[in-house]
Amino acid sequence: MKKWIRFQGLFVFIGLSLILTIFWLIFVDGIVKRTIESYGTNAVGAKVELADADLKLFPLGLTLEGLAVTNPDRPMENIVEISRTALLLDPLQLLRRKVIVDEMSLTGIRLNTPRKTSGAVKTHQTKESQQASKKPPSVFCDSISLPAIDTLDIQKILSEEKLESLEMIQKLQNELQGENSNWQKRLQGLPGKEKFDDYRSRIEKLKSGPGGFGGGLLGSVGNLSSLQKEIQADLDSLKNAQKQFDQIKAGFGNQFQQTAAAPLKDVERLKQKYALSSQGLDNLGKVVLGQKVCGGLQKAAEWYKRVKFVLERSKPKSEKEKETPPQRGAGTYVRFKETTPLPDFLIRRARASFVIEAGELSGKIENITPDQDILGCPLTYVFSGEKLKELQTIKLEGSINRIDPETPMDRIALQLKEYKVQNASLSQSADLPVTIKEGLADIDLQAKLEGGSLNGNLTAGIKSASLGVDEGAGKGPVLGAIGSALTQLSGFNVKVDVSGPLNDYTIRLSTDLDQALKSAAGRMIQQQAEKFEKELKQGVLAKAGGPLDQLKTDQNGFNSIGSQLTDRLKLGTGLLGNVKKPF
Amino acid sequence: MIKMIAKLFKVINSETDPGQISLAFCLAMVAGLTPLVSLHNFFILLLVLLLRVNLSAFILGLTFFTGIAYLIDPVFHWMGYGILSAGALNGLWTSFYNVTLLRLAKFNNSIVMGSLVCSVIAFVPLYMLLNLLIQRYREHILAWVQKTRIMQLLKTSKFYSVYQAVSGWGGRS
Repeated sequence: MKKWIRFQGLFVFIGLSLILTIFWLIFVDGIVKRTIESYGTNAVGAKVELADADLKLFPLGLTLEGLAVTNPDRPMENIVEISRTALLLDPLQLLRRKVIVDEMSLTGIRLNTPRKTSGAVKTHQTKESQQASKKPPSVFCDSISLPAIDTLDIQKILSEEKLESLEMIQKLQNELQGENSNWQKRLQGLPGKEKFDDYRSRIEKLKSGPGGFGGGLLGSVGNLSSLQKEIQADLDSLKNAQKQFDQIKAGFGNQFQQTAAAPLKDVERLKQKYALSSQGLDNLGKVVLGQKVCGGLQKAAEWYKRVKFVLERSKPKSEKEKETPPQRGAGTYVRFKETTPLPDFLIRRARASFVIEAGELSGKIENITPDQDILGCPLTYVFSGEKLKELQTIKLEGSINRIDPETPMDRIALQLKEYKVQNASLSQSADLPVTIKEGLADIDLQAKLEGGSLNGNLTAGIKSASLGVDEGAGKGPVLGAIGSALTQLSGFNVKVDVSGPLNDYTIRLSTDLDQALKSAAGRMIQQQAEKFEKELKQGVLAKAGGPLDQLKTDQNGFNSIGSQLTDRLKLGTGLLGNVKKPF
Repeated sequence: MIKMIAKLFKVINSETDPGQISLAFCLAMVAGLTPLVSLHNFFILLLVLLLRVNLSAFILGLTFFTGIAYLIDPVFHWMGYGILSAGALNGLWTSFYNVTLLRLAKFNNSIVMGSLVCSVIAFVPLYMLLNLLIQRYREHILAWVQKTRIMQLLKTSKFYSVYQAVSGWGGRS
C-alpha cells in the first residue's frame, strides 16, 4: 500500500487549492467588474462602466459602485447612472449555474446624466436603437404642421406644383392632332369634288352622246347603271367615314368637357393642400400639442424597447440548441426537468430610488427575469413619491407579462398631481413655438399593450398656466391671432387616445384648445382661405388659359373635317339625284 | 519539453513499476480529454498527487491528450449529446440534474459527458496495454535499441546529454 500512496501529495494538493483560492479572492472583484462591463456593453450597444465591484462570500453578495450605462443614441449622455447596487445572491442556486438574486437595492439612480467622454461602441444594438428612434408610425405625426396660410406665395406654388389640367390639355391636344393628321390623309383617299366633277362630266357625256339616253338604249342603260353604282359606292364610303368620325368626335366631346373643368379641379386640390379647410379649423389644438404627443410616444417607444430587451430571450433554448452547432470546446448544456423549476437569471425583488428633477422617487420591481414562463409570475413595478419639490404626488405602476411568450401583455399607469411645469416647450415648430412658462399639470396615463395591439389614453389638465409664443414665430395675421389667443389662456385640457397595432396605431387628440383657437383665429383663417382661393383661381386660369385656347383652335380644325365630309356627301347625293334612267 | 521526454525515457528505462507510468498516462488521458476546468479534474489532480504515479508521464500525457481533445471534440459532442438525450437514461439524468454537486460537475454538458465516458471506457484497456508495452519494451527493445546505429548517433546529440543529466538526478519520481 505504501508503495502506491505518497501522503506528502495530499499536502501539495491542499497547498495548491489554497493558492488557487487566494488567487481567486484577490482577483475575483476585477473579474466580476470586467465581466459586467463587457456583458453590459454588448447587451446595451454602448459603454457600460463600473467604478468598483466587491464580491462577499458570507453571506454571498455583490456590491457595485458607480454603474454608468451610456445612452446608445446619445453617446455623450448616460441613460442611467446608479451610485450603489447591492445584491444578495442565493449561493446554492449559483452552484447550479443559476443567478438568483433574492434582494437587490439600487440607490442614487439618475437618468440622462452627462458624460465626460463618449460611450459609443459599434454594435448591432446601436443600429437597432437608432432605428427605434424614428417617429411614431402614425399618420397623425406626419400631418402636424400648420399650413402656412399667412405666407402662401401663389407664384411659387404654381411653379412647384404640377397642374393636372395642363397635362390633360397637352394629352388631348396630342390626340387631337394625331387624329386630325390621320383624317387629313383619309380625306385625300375619299371621293372629293374632283371625282364628283368627273362623274358629272361623265353624266353629261352620256346625256349628250351620239345616242343620248334615246339612242343605243341598251348601251346607255348599262353605262348609267354602272355610273350609279360607282357613285353609290363612293357615297357609302363617305357615309362610313362620317359615321366613324362622329364616333371619335363624340369621344373627344367628353374629354373636352373634362379638360375644360380641369383648371378648377386644380384650384380645389391646391386649396385643400395649402389652405386650412373648415375641418382643419376644428383641430388647431393638434398643431400646438401634436409635436409634444408624438415626441412623448417616441420616447416611450425607445424606453419600452430598452426594457423589453432586458426581458427578451432571443429564442427558446431547445430550438437554439438544435439550430446552432456549439462553439469548439464549449459543448451544449442539455436541460432536464427540475423538481423546483427556476429561471437561469432572476431578481426576486429590487428596491430602487430614482433621483429626478422633482425630487426622489422610490419603489420596487419584482420578478426581473427573461424566463417568466418558467417562474410563472410577471414583472411588476410600483414607484411613488409624495410632496416632492415640483410635484404633489407621483405614482407609477405596471407590469410586463411574458408568462405566455406568445401572448405578451404589458401595462403601465402613471398619475401625476400638481406637477409644476416651468418653461416646458409644447411646440417647437418654427411658425408657432409655444412654451408653458409656468403652470400646474395633472396627468393620468393608462396604457396596455396586448399581443402587439396598443391601447392607451392620457388625460392632462393644465391650470394656473401662462403660455408664451416666441417672438421668432412666423408673422402674419392668422399666426398672430393664434399666438395672441394662446397667451391669453390660463389653462387647457387634453385627451389623447392611442389604439391599434404597435406598428400602425391611430392617435386621437381632443382638447378645449380647439374651440378657443377656432373662435380667436377662425374668422381670420376663413378670410385668408378665401383670398388664397381667389388668387389661386386667377393664377391657375392664367396658366391654363393659353393652352386651352390652342386646344379650342385644334378642336375647330378637327370639327372642320366633319363639315368637309358632309359637303362631299351632299355633292354626291345631289349628283345621284341627277342620274335618272330613261324609263 | 526535451527534458520532460528525456525524464520519461529515464523512467521507462529504469526499474520503476510500469503500473505507475501507465496509471499516470491514464489519469492524464481523463484530465486531458475532458475540459480542464471541471470538478472531476480536481479529483484527478488529488489522485495524481496522492498516488505514487509518475508526474513526468502525467504532464506529458496531459499535454498530448489536451491537444488531441480539441481535434476530436465534435465526436465527444455528438456522443455526449446522444447519451444525454437517450430516452432510456432520461430518468437517471433528471435525478442527477437535481443534485447540486453533479450540476456543478457539468455532467449535462455534451462535451464533458462524451469525453468523460470515452476516457473512462478507455481507462482500463489503456492501463493494461501500456503496462504490457513497457514490460515488452524493457525486455526486448531496450537492449536492442542500445545497440542500434541510431542510438549510437543519438548518444552524440544534445538530447542524450540532457538524458544523461536527468539520469544523474536519481531516485524515483
